Amino acid sequence: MALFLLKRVAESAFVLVLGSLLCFAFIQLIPGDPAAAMYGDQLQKLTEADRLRISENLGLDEPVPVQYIHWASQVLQGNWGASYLTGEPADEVIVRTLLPTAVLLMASQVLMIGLALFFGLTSALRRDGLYDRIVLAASVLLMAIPPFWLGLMMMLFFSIRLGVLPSSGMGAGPFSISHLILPALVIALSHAGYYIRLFRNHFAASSMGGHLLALRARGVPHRRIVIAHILPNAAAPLIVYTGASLAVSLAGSVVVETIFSWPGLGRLALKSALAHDYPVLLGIILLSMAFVILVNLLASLLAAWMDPRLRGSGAEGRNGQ
Amino acid sequence: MAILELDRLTVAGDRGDIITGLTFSIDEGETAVMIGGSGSGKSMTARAVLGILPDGLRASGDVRFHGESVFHMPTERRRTYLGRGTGIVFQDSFGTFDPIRTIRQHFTELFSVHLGLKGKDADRRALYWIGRAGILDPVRVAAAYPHELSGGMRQRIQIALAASLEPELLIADEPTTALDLNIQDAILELLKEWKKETGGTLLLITHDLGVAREMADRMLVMDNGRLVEDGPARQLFTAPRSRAAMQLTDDWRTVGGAPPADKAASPSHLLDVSGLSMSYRTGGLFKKREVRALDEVSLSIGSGEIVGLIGESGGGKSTLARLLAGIEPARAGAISWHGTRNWPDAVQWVHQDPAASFNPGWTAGRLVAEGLEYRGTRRTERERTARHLLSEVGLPSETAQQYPGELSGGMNQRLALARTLAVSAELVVLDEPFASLDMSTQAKMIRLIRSLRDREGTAFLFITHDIRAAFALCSRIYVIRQGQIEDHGSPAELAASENPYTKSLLEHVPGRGVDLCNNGGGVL
Amino acid sequence: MKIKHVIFSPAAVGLFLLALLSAAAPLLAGVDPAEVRMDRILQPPGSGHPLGTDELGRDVWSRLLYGGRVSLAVGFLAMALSISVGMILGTISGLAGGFIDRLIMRTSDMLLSIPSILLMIGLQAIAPAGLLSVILVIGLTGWMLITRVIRTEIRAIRKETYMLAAKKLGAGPVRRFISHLLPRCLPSIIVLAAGSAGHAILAEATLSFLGLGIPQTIPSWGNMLTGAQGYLMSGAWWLAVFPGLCIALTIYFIHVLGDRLQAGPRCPSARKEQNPHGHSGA
Repeated sequence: MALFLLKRVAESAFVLVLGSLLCFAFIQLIPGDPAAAMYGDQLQKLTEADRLRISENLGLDEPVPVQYIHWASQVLQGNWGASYLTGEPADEVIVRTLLPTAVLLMASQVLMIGLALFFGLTSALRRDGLYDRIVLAASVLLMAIPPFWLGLMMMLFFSIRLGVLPSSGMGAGPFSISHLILPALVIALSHAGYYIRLFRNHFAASSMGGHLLALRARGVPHRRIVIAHILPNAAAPLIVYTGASLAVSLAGSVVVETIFSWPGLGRLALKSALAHDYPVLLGIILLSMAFVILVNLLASLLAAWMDPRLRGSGAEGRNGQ
Repeated sequence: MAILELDRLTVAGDRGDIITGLTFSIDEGETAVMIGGSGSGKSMTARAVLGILPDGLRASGDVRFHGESVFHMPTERRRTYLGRGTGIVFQDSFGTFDPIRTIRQHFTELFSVHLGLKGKDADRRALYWIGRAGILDPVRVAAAYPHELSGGMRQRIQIALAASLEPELLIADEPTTALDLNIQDAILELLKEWKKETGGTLLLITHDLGVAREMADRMLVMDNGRLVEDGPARQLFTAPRSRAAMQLTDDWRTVGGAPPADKAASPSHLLDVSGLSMSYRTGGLFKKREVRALDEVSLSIGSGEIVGLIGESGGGKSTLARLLAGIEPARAGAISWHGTRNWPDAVQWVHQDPAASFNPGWTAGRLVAEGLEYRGTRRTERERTARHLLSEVGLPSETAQQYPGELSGGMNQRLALARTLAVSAELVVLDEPFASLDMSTQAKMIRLIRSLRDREGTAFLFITHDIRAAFALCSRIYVIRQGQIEDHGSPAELAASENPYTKSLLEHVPGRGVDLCNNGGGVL
Repeated sequence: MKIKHVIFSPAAVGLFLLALLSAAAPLLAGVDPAEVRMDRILQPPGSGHPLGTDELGRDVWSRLLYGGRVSLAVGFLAMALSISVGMILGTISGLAGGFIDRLIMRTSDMLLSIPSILLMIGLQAIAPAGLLSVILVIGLTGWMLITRVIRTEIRAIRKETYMLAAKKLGAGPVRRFISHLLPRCLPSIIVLAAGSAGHAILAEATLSFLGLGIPQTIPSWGNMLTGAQGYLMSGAWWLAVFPGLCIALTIYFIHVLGDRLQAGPRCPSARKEQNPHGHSGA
C-alpha cells in the first residue's frame, strides 16, 4: 500500500508538471511579448526602469528552461500577474469567486451523485426490465440536451412562465437556496444521464459475481447481499468516477454560471477569455487543474483503500500449499 | 430415513427442459455421488435443491428436506435450511469469494446472519474452523484476501465455510476439478473426515469416475437431464444397466487404461533437448529474485511417438512447453531438431485453453487454415484443406462456419489440433489439454490423438498434471519436479518406480486402491 | 444483430434526415439566411416565417437549415480529427510501452484534468477566430479518452493467446497488426467515433453560444442561441427553442446509434461466458 501511495503521488506530481509546461507554453503563444501578457495595459503606465525590472524578473533574456523555472517559482509564490481589466492581482480576483463556485459545485455534485446512485442501483437490480429500459432511455435523453439549452429552458419555465424561481444572481449570498436551485439542478441534470448509465453498468456488473450465488446458497438475506456486497464491490470504481466527475461539473459551471449570472469562477473564466485577460484566465486554468489532480489522487487512494485488488500487490503473500 | 427427497423435479428453460422428472432420495449419513458429463444437469440439480436457479429457469415438482417442501418454505425457514440445513462447496474459482472481503469476514458474516454471533466470539469461531480445515497458520489466512490464496487453500476454506454452520447435508459440486492430483486427494480426505466426525450426509457431484469410486456409497448417473441409473457404487462397475453408465465405465477404462503397445519403438530422433535451463526475475522494486523454472533438463522425442511430461503446478511444465514451442528463448542448453539446430515450424503448440488461442472474430474454417493464410496459400486451396482437416479431427463440416465462442471445449481442442496439422506439424506440444474437459470428452480426445499419430505419424508431447491420462496415452513419460527431470520410463516402469516423488504422485490418483472393479484401471 | 439493423434503425434514419435537410438547405430555405429585415424583427412562428425571425429579422427556418450544415460539418470534422489523433497516439502508446507510453498517458491525464470548456476557451482566446480554429480546438481537445481506450484495447489484445498462436503459425508483426489488432479494435473505434461526434457538436454549440465559437456571420445552431437568452425574457421563446431542439435531437440520435453499435454487428460473443460453478449448466 505504501508503494502504491508513493507511485500515485509521484504520478500526480508528474501530471502537474506537464500541466504547468502547457500553461507556460500558453504564455509563449499569447500574441505580444510575455511582459505585456503578464501586465497588459498596466505596462504602458510604468517607467522604463520598471519595465526593465519586470523583464529581468521574468528572465526574458534567459534561455527558455530558465524562464520556465522563473515563472514556476513566481506562480508558486502566488504572483500571478495583474488582471488587465481591473489592475488587481489576479489571485485576488480569482479568490473572490471561489466560495460561490464551491457552493454551487457541492450542491450540484450531491444532486448528481444522488441521482446516479439511486437510479443506477435501482435499475441495475431490475436489469433488462421495463424500469431499467425507461431509466436508460431517459438518461440518453439527458445526455443529449446541451447544458446551456437546458438552463435556458428551465429558466423559461420556472422563472418566466411560472415565476417561482429567480433567474439570475445569487441574492443575499451563495447560500440563498432559491437562487441556488436552478443552476445546481442544471449542472446536475446535464451530467446525470452519463453517470446514471455508468453507475448502472457497474452495479449490474457487481451484481453478477459468482460469489453472490454462493452467498445466496448460504442463506444470506438479499438486502444484506445488496448492502454488504454489491454496493461495496462497485464502490471503488465509482469513487474514482465521482472524483473525475468534478472536472466535468467544473466545466459545466462555466456555462451555467454565465447563464444564471452566478458570480463564480466559471463566469470569471469566460469574462477573462472574452476580454483577453490572460493572467486571470491562466490562473483559473492552473488552479482548477491542480484542484482536479488533487481530487483524482484522493479518489484513487480512497478506492485502493477500499479494494485490495487495486493496490497492485496481488502477487505478494500468495501462499502455495 | 431420507434427508433429501426429489420428487419429479423438472427444471425448464426457454429452450426446453434441462432436468426432466428427477426422482431420488438420499438417506441420512449416506455419501451419494452424482456423476455425468458436461451438460448432463448435475450442477443444475444442486442449484434447484438450493433454490438458486439462474434467471429464466423454472423448477416444478418438489424437493423435500426432512419431508418439508423446500419450494414452499417461508423466507426465514428457508434461510435456516440454506445455512444450517445444507452446506455447499463449489468448484474452485475466485468467483465464489467476495474479492474485497478477507477470509475472516466471510466466516463472521455467516455467523452473524445464522447464529447471531458477533465480535470476538465470531472471530474465535472463524479461526477454529479455518484450523479445522487443515490450515497450519489460521491467523494469517484469516487476514488474507481470496486472491492471495492458492486453489487448494480456497477449497479448504470453502469446506470450512460450509462445515462451520454444522449442516446435516453437505453438497459438493465438482470440488476437486482443475486442482492438482495431490490437492484433490487432500480435499477428498477432508470431506471424508468431515463425514466421519459429524456423521453427516454428503452429496458429491463430479464427472470423474475415479473421484466417485473413492467416495461413493451410492451412485446417481445423470445423462441429458435425466437420472439413468441409481444404485450401490459397486453395481456401476460390475453390472451397469444403462447405456450412459456403460459409456462412463468404458471412458474410464480409456482414461485410466494402458495404451496399446507401440508398433516397434521408433528410434529415429525427432527432437533432442539437452541441458535446458530457464529462470525468471520476479519481485518488486527493491528485491529482485531469480526463480529457476528449469534446471538442466534433457529429454528426447522420437518421430511418431507420444511422450508424456507430468508434474505438479509450478514444476516447470508450462515453461518447458513454451521453450519447445519456440515462444521464448532458453537461457542455456540446446534443442536440436532432426539433429540440426534449425528452429522448425514443424513444432506446433496447443494451448491449455484452446478457445483463447483463436481470434474470436474468425470462423473455425478460417482458423484451421490460419497458418496457410500466413504462408500465402490461395483461398480455394485453404478452404479445401480446412474441410479435409475438420473431418480428420472428427468435426462436422458445418463447424467451418461457426465461431470458436459457439463451440464446446472439446470441439475447440479438436480445432486447435486440426490447425497444427494444417501446417504439417511433426511434433505437437499439448499443454494441459484435458484441464477443462469432462471424462468422456477426455476419453474421446485420447482416441483421437492416438489415431492421428497412427494416420499422420505426428509425434506428441503431452503435458499434464493428470498422471492417469498420461499413463493412458503415452509410451514414455518424464516426471518433472522443481524444474528437474525426476524420473523417466514407460508407464509400466513408472508404476513400479522406486522414486519417492513418482510414488507419491501415484498415491494421489483418485479411486486408486478402492477395489470396486477388477477389470478397469490398466496399470494403475 | 446484423449491420442492416443498425443502418435502418430509427436513430440512423433520423440522423440521415437531419443531414439531408441541411444538405438541401438552398432548396428548402426559400429565404437567404443572411438577409436582414429590420421591419420584420422578432416575428413569432407563422406569418410567412414558419419558425419566426430573429432580432435582425432573419428567417429562423432558413438559418436553422444552413446552421445545420455548419454544426454537422464542424462536428464531423472535429470528430475525424479526434479519432485520428486518438488512434495514432493510442496505438503508439499501446505498442511502445515504457517511457513513450507513460508520457502519452500522463499528457492525456493532464489535459483531462483541465475542465474541457476551460481548455477550449483558453485555446480559443489565443487562436484567431474562425471556423477552422473551432474545428482544431474541438478536435485537439477531444482525443484523450479515445487514446486511452485504444491503448487499453491494444495492450489487452497483444497479450491474448491468439496473438502468440498467430506468431507461432508464422505471422509477422505487420501481418498480426493488420489481421488481428486492427479488426479487433474496429468496433470500439466506431463506438468511440459516435461518442466523439456527439461531443464535438455539443462543444461547437457551447463555444458558439458563449461567443467564442463560430463567428456570427456564419449561422450555426450554437451561435443562433447566443443572443437568445436576452430575448427569452421578452417572450421570444422561438429563438432559443428550435436550434436547441435540433442540437438535442442530433446528439440523441448519435448516442442511440452508438449504443446500437456497441451491442451491434460483431462476431457472436467473444468467448462463451464461463460458468464458475461447474461443468454442466444451461
